[in-house]
Amino acid sequence: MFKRGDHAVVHRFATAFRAGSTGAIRSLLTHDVVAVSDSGGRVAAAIAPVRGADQVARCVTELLRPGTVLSVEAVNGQPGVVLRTPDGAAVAVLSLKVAGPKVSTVWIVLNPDKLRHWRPRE
Amino acid sequence: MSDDPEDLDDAVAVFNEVRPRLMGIAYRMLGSHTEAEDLVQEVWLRWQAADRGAVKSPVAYLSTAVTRLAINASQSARARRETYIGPWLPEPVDTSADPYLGAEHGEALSFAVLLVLERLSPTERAAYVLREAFDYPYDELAAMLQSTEAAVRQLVSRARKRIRAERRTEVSGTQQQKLLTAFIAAARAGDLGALEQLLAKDAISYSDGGGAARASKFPVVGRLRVAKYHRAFHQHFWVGVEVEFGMANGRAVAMLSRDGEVFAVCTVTASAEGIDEVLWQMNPSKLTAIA
Repeated sequence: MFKRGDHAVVHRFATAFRAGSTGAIRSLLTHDVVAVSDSGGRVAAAIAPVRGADQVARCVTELLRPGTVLSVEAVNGQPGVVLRTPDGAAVAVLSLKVAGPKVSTVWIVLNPDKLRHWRPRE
Repeated sequence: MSDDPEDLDDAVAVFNEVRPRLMGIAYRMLGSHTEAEDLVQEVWLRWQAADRGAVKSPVAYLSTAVTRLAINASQSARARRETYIGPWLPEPVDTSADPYLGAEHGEALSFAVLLVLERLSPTERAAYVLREAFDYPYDELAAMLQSTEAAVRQLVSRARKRIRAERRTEVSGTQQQKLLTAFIAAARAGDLGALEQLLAKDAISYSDGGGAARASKFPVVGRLRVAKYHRAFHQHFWVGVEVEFGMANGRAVAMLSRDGEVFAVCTVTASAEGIDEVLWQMNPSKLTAIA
């Protein structure tokens, strides 16, 4: 189902993300990467798309809270990253567009109304 | 309509079997799992009340119902999204929990595609989703969308083109200009190898001859075929032709003239994979603005 290469990039991204390493995340982004966050105005998030590797890497690491649990899951038929609170509730779902060895777009869904279907995981 | 409990059991069974497909259509149309569930519920109410004995194909009946409801819903959803705070993204779906949505019908499910679909008209979106993700035949699509087969084909092909263009990031203006210059040189020389090298694997060549000039009426598809097509007419075509490069519609174009008169304009769209589209404008009535 997944292209092997894409999957590897997503896993590398998740590993850097889990470590909270802005530098490692940045190295996996294309220079003109774009991050779009949908918060529906319900939680704090950038209201306009964020552009550029530095800004996107920072915007992604800002999603981490103490105890955030991060996993690679099937998001809309492709590997994506899901962030949960320590008690298992999904707080962010990230879908990534991969271009070659790097990530060129990050879509971040934060609107709690849109995450109700994400079951808690152990 | 019947109150016979056995008949109702039957109705439930039929509906449950088609339900995943209805969810798949509605979700792709609306980008919202919650709204999709509401629509499917609405279809169930209609199915319960319908004269089911008269329905020849429940699948066709139910998918038509959900498609029409989704077209209406997406019109009002669009209005609501105008007041949405910040960017709107689809509601992500966990495809490991809902295999029908994902695995074998993965088309038109990724964020990238859903976001392009958002920008198409609801009918275009419906045509694309039903065709690409669920493989409905064109005659059935025409009936579902209350249109003709030819019009539906047109909708699907337009949507496909938009999605293809969107998937790839176009190269910069300078890069496009370089590729165009190289392409014109290779076409003029009839150099098959060079042409192939410049083209993306699924490149398409379109010619608008307007019926007035000699041009291929059909798009030519595929790297090798596009390359061969351009080699095939290189000899006569280029005799006495002068090429001038310029800008039109914000992009680099090559203007071909013979005896001081522009008779064709060529441009290319390209991504990192090479030239995706070669566009030939040879319709005399459309060239007057340039020459």
